Amino acid sequence: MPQLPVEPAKAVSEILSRYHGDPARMIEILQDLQEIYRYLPKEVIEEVSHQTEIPINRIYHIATFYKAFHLEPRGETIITVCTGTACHVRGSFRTLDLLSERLGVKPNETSGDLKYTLETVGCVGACALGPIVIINGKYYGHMTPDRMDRVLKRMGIIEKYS
Amino acid sequence: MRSIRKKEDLLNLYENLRKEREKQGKFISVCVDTGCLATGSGAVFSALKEEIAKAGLNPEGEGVKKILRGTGSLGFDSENPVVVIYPEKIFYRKVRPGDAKYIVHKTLLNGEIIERLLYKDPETNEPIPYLDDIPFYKHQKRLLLANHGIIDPLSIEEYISIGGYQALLKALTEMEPPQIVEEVKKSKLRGRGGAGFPTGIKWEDAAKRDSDIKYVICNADEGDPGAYMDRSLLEGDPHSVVEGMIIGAYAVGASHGYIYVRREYPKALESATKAIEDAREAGLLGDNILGTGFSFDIEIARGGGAFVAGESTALMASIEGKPAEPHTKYIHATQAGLYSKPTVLNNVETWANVPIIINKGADWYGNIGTEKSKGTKIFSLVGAVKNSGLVEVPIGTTLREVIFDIGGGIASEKKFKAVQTGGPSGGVLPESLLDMPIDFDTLTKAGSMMGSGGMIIMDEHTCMVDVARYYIDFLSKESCGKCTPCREGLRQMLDILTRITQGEATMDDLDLLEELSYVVKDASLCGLGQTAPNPVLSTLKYFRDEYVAHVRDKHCPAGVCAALIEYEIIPEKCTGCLACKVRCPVGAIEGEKGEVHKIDPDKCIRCGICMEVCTFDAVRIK
Amino acid sequence: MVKITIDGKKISAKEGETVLKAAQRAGIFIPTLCNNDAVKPYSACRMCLVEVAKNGRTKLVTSCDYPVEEGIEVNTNTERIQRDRKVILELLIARTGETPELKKLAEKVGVKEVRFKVRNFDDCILCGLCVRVCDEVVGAHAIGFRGRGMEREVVPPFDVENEQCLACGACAEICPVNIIDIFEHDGTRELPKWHKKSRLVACRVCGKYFATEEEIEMIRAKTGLPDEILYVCPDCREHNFTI
Repeated sequence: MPQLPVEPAKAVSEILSRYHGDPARMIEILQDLQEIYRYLPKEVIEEVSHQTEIPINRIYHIATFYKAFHLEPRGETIITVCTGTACHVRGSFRTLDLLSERLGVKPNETSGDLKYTLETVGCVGACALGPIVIINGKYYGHMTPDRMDRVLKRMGIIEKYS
Repeated sequence: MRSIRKKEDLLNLYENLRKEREKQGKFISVCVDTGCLATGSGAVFSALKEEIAKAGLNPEGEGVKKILRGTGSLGFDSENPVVVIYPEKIFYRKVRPGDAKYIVHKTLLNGEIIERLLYKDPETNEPIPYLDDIPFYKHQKRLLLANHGIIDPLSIEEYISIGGYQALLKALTEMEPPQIVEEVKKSKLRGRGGAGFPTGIKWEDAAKRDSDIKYVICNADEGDPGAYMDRSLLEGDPHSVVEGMIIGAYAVGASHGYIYVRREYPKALESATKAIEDAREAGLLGDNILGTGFSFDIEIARGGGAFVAGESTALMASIEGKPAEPHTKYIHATQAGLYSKPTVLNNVETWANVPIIINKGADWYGNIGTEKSKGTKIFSLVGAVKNSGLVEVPIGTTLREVIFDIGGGIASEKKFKAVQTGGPSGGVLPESLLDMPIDFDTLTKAGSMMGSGGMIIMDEHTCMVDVARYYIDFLSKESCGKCTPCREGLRQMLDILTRITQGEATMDDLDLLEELSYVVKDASLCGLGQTAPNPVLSTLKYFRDEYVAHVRDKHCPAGVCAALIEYEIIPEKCTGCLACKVRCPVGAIEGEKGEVHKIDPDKCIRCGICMEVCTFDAVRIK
Repeated sequence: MVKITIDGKKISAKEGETVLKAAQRAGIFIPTLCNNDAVKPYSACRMCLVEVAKNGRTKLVTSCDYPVEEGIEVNTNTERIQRDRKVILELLIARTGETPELKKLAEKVGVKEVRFKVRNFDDCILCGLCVRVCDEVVGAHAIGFRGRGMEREVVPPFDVENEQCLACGACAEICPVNIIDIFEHDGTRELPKWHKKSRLVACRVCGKYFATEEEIEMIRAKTGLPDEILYVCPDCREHNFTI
């Protein structure tokens, strides 16, 4: 088990104080903690339960219910494909299939070497640009499999096309 | 910023800011909302700023003395980045950073119009210089979106300078709470979140409740994939929402409010947060607002990413820090909502209507719209349409007017096939219904829904079975999983639909799908499940032939369903240029240079890159 | 007293009680799966749907949490309800396979065949009774829901043994489809579904195993009773007391 960058007890008490320990802010508390660790390690969830005295089964339910939370480490490069309706009718599923093939991971999974996470999002509200792919926060509009593949090559994610 | 303590403070501030703004006169506006920034409007903004400074002017002067404004979206998103020069409203489209110096020197300083940046009439190819003359805008009625383009949404002074918070002033100093409720009732405003419940009646019920604490909530959890008007309103004009909420809180006697913002909308979160902070600092939120003794404050609640959180009971559970699981609504939220206290929950667009109604009066408002549905509605016109973006029209406008007069019809040479309204809760409507006026009741009667206003245009290359499967797939993952019909029913619907798109279903499956759809609608616990079958039922109703083609002929007429299509190369057109072969990610194309190429259907993953890169139109779907 | 009609029968119901309760007292059968008097109503399985007519309008509600109101007319067995119930049961059987309990209920509500693909991927019907009894009655919070939508399941947090679990067996007791196994052997009690193994405590008087160590500790923490009482089984305690 790799060492966590920040001591969970310290991180949790710091974030909790931000919300005056108000359990109603659990979703935000967990989001802020996730920002530190890039996912929610088991120790961190246990620590939240310990410090807030909220049963761990409830926190675990929240952490597995909302899409914002990840219980496993995520990749260095996060590729998000918008699968909103406007993107879908313009063929975003083909780009998603291609990415899955190229990266060797299924949608909403992370590669074994923790290099890539391929994920989908319901809609980012920039429908006129669809299909949209977001790579580490940068938006790419009007994506097609052809354009996607060229982006992958430019970024060095693939060496050659075939 | 000075604190506004009484009526006169706000009136004086408004007078001063209005004059300052008028003195400034000319200015350039650049849309800097999420959608525009993704097209590079940030760089355009920076370039303009630099050029204006170089010309010896101050681009972003103090208060409202601005020559350059970063604003909310002007709605015409397929033309982004858009730059508009006021007061003439010269409309420049697809602007690049390199255009900045010409815009500043020619247009801003010399009033000269740059023709190459103008929008051209698609029929006559004539350039149209002014925003109001462009067909996309000409047929709209922009009330809610009126401030987009003319104010910097992150500045409360900008909002006040154009008459912002005057409705609040009127409500708090000239009206009694029951009068406000009466006015909203009389306006016949209906909730813009989907179901269209009369807002005034909701307020009236909450107002009559006796309780130590009452809440108002703004639902900004816009989860409909394909709809983004709430994001745009919050990013482009957040104070109008805040103002609406304060008026509502005063009317029903609430002391505390929440804006529940979807986590996928970081910029909306930022602007809503800023608006609340600024309003608080100015004295428009907090204790003793405008010296009237009325106290009210708003907090932001960040969503965790769950479509079902848009459902009212689930949203309140989420604000309380629980999983967004709905419960039965035999007791209304207006009686026992958030923390079991009387609660009024409206969505972003509904709240934004409130200042307009109070300012102009219910009678004026009642002139817009249809008999039972008043006012305007914002639609996000997206998909296969030529002019894509946010469109605001009076309720009762026909689908054809929106899609063809404003939207310009289908983007390519393809034919219109269907329009999907209401998102996953709505349905798909065929061409024969295009002359239907859009309102809550007509859409529901036709098997769709107004929903939050998503309008997705589909051309003949959209497969209706695939669309239905798409929505059920989405909903089966977004269902909270609590009740049996929604969780297990959607699972089985998805299973049947998947088998149809793979050519493995029987005609009996179609009947079973239909019966199951009715049960899921009937028996599900909340609105998500109760409306989830709409995309299936409406496509079965209007496009049954397409289902039959998949089942009986193992054929996808639109050429979408991967298991039922094959890419092939037309020998007569292929020049053997290798372009497709080089690019095929799975090496499924054979043939040497100069030879006709061939696709191996067993290796092919149907990504379509070959078709995209072929310059000879030699690849087609069999 | 509130006067209501169920299936044409005039019934006096108690103020504030649910339609289900009123029906049960009148001997009218309404099928249920996720309901149990030990915990709050949950309205999730949807088996108890009934039609309620009020002011000339009919709506479908769950009888387990719908409060009686003066003058309402309830119908528990219309064609619409029969259809919905049958399909709901078919959906559950497609999920779990035909367990004895579901089979019995299916016969009772008239399911002839299951028309959906029976996947049998999970034996749990997700009624949530085990979770709720553990939360609301036992207070151990040892198990809970994970995920949402089709992925929803009941597990102890992280799906590993949870030290908060008392191995008290309330979950197994309340499960309407009897799928939570509980074994006792060689002084241990095991609930494999929750990966839980607990040491049993023998009575200092009669020597019979009567509780898990966790249960004893919980009672100690709550009551502060001395070992002399804690380690004596209820039977012997009662016996000693009468002597």
